[in-house]
Amino acid sequence: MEVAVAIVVILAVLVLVAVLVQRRRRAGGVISVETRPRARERRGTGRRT
Amino acid sequence: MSTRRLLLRASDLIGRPVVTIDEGEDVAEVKDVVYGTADAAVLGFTLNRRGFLGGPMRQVLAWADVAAVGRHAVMIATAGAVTENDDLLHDVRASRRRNVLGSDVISDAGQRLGKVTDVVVMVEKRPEVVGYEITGGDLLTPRAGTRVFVPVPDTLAVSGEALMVPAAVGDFVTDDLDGLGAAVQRFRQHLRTTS
Repeated sequence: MEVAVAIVVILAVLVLVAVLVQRRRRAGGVISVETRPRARERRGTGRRT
Repeated sequence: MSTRRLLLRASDLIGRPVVTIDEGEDVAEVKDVVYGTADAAVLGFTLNRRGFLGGPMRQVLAWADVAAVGRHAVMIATAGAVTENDDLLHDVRASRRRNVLGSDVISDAGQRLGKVTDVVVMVEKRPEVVGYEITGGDLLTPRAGTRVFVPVPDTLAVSGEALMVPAAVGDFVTDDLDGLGAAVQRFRQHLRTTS
């Protein structure tokens, strides 16, 4: 009985950790990058695959 | 891209699906909004795969390849718009993924105005960062502790972990997003006449 409870608890913890890690990986933000005005003229011309 | 003038919070774009116009395909969702400091231009988005298990994508979406930003989705012409754009990828990697949400806003006189809760983007002919939504610090009393909007110059300064703004910005702080558009124009006009 104790073994079964331990397994369930361990699985629950693993699932919780996986959910938290996944949420962290997917979390977004607003990123500022240092650019020079001249560099911006080339925006949108990136290689398309 | 529509030329209608629109003010929106950058965080409202996070999580929006990226949908193709040609096939209606849901190809990704917005992870990060990326903007450049030199001219405050929004450069594009980093992306997540769709679905709960979808992690970050290597490909990005440059703003030049965005067809429209709708209330519920970011529209692109074809799936080919999601690409390994060398310029944007380079900028994002070089920035070490510097997320400005939560950063302090400090005037060039060395006074702390507050902490960034969001970044306001104006979508007109080109998308541009025009202000920060901040939780006002003590300097903005009686607005301390409330969310206010601070206009920014058309060239943004970043110092370490803080965002720098001219000290004169204190006279142009507004309480609502709708008022920010006019405040930005007045603030930038003020900077031009005093410089």
